Amino acid sequence: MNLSAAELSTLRWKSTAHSVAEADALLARLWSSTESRQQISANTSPDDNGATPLAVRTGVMNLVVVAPGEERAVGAASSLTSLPRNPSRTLFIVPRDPEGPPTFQARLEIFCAVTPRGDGTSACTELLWIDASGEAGRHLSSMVPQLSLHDLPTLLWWDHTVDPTSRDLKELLRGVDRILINGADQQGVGVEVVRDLITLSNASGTAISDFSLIRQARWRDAVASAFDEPEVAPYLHAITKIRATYSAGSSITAPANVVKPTYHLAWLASRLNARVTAPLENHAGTWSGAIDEEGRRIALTLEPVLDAGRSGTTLALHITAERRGGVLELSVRADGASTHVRASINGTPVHERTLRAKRATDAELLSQALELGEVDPLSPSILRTFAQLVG
Amino acid sequence: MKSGKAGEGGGTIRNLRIARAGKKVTPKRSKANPLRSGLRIERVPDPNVVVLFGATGDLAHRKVVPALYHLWAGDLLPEKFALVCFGRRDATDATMRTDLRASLEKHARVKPIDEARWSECAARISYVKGAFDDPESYAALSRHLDAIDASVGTGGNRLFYLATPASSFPEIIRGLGAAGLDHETGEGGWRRVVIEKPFGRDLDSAVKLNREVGKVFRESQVYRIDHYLGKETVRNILIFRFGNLIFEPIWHRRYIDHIQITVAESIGVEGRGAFYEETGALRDILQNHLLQLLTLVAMEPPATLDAEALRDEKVKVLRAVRLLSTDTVDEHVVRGQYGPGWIGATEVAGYRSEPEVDAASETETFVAARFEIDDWRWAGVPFYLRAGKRLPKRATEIAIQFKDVPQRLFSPTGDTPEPNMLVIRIQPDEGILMRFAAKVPGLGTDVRPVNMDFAYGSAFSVESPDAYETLILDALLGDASLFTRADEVEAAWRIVDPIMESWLAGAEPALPNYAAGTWGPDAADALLTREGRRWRRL
Repeated sequence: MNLSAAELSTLRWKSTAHSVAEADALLARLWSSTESRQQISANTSPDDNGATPLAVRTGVMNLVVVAPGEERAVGAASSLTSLPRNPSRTLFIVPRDPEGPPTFQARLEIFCAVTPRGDGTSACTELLWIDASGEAGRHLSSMVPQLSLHDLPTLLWWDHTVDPTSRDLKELLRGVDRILINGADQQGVGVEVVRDLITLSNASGTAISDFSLIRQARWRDAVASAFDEPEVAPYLHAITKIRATYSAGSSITAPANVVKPTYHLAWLASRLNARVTAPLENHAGTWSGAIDEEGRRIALTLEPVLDAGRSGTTLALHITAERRGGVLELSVRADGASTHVRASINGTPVHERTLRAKRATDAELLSQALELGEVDPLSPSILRTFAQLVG
Repeated sequence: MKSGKAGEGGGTIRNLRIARAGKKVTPKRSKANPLRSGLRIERVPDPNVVVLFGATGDLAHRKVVPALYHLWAGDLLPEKFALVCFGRRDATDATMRTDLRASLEKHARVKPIDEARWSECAARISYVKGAFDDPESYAALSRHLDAIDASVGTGGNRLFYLATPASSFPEIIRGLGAAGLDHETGEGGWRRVVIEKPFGRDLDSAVKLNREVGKVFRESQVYRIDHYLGKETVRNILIFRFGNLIFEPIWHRRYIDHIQITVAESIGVEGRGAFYEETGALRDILQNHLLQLLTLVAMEPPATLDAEALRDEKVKVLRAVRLLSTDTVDEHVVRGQYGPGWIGATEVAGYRSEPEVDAASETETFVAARFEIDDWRWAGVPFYLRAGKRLPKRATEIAIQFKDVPQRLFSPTGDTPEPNMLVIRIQPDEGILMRFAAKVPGLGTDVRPVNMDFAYGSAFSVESPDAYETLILDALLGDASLFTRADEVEAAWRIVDPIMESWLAGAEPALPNYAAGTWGPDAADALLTREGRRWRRL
């Protein structure tokens, strides 16, 4: 059922639990007994026949949000309320005080909305706010499977820095279908963390979605649209250089997270079915590498530029291709509302287009990530190439 | 047998292999843009011009132009795109744009209108004044299109969209042909024509129309649009049937008792009395929408999803429908016309009191029919089809009623469980419902039917495009799968013709015979009850 922000506002039930078993039992009892289900439906008026309308739990998915603090968890919840549809059960887990005693506390809430069907049926979604301290907070894999609804896909939103060496994360990945991260938030240059997570997730068969990669959809649309043009299309398999410039903030030499610009290279390489021949290497902020498309070398460069924007953000993508004496120069840029593509051959402009595509909000990105479900046509090949590029 | 090329030592596999050994084999590369693979939009049309005939008419303003605007706003049209409006009225590019913008305000699917996107779209709109029967108008149109090709770079690709009354189709087609606008150019410029239903008024007129169209355009250039086929749930029928293993084995006379297809509308003729007087429910809905749904439910799996394979299978179904004779029409077909009544606590007038409707009209506003398909899969399975106006609610669905279980195992003293039912809801509340038996909790073995219900709205948050957006984009991409082929149209008329002939030859019908707000005439119920069945309650 669709529960939008406004419709989600009806809190129908709440409770607290001090152990995983207690939380699990409370929720299970609630849905298995007619009496307690009526309690959830109590806010709804009986229909003309005097029957109390039903309340049902949505059958969408489990969402597990691991946030570094209460504020981030509330922010994640705020994104959830603007989604077109909501997970059946969401666990907001905030690990605290890792050195303290192991404790578990959960606030359980059920929100319902009357469906547009007209028979008074309410569709409900469950929110579990979990504080886990000490050892309990370091063993999330011990609580998530037990608190997840059976037979629904589970998405783990790791709104946190990733430690791919963590044994708990490794175990956790074995029990979830997809992990959602933000590569651009990872520490250092970021690419090694993402690469190690790719390796980890390959072992567990868990899919990865990265907000940074999803966010680049408008760049990909723009580049692809340029190669739809009859004048530009013949140059697609004649590319010799791909260069992405990125914001280095206020210092060229300070390490910047280059996950985002690397994704651009990985996408192009994967679509061209190119082989990585030289993984990216960093020389004072400039990363260089190479791929091979059917025997033709394509030089890759990530180039830092002093810029007031957030460090690591892609500023432009430049593609050079050479064919039968013609040299194509294609550049793509993006701003808050649109992407701009410009192509010239031997200096003569042949294509210029502005595609209206707003920068996606966090809620939109989350919605897209949820909607990917079990099928993501793009990420697996990009991530595979990404890992090869990082080396 | 000698067949090899000289120097390859004959055409045996061995010789060919040896001759080629060591040579570099370059794999053939698809012409498709690989960067599109996996993106939101996997294909975009070639640069093109859409030429809209009847641009000042209702259909153009309500459906075609809003669909083109949404396609443009969604970056689904190429940058090198132009819309040429062709009409008889005095207008200029500027006034046409203003009129279309005003219509968009009323009919756009997504509001508010994105002014920046509309401005880009509007800049590509031009108007050509002309008469459908004037050769000079087509010559002027041709010059205008050549100029657009030169200035915009649309490469000679043209889609002629005939959003006009059907009576104008032949002369427009002739005009296009006489001006050479149908000729596909050697440089790859394609020419396509989109024709709106009705495709004729009966078999004879449909054959004539197809012949007129065929004199100018090849069948592969013709796109006959039935917007029902562009609806998301209708397209999902194919996915549901052929993308799932579990349903196809039971999609058979051995397990299916009968099938009901309903297109119910609660509205009346809504100011289109004159049109409806000449059409009626049989021509307006049964001949196209209902028979199209029937073909999708009853067709065999096509070998591929390409347009010809798909349409071949649909035509096979239509040809296998047992034709009624004028003697058997009354037994299998019921017509009705609504009288005054109440819908949604509002009193509504009868059909004969609607504007532009004859006070003694014999036009049917309801039709129900029982058909059989004579093939190995469906022999003996009745298909009940019904469509009507001023019914209690708007609902379009296909209900597949399975047979009873062979043995009363659970309630020897009571009823058998209700047989399974699968319902494909097309509108509103699009989805699929499966009804099956379950044990009532308790110590006994009472069995009750329960529903397993899939609703599109709950499973996907993506908004469905309008059917016109889907179909226009397909026509621009050259995908005719969802368009009706000439032989398909004729096969459908062949089913409907005997019904019309029987009604024309028969006595004056007793109309009106159902009150607005009811489920049609009693005789429609009798069509099923005499066989121990009943219409599904909607």
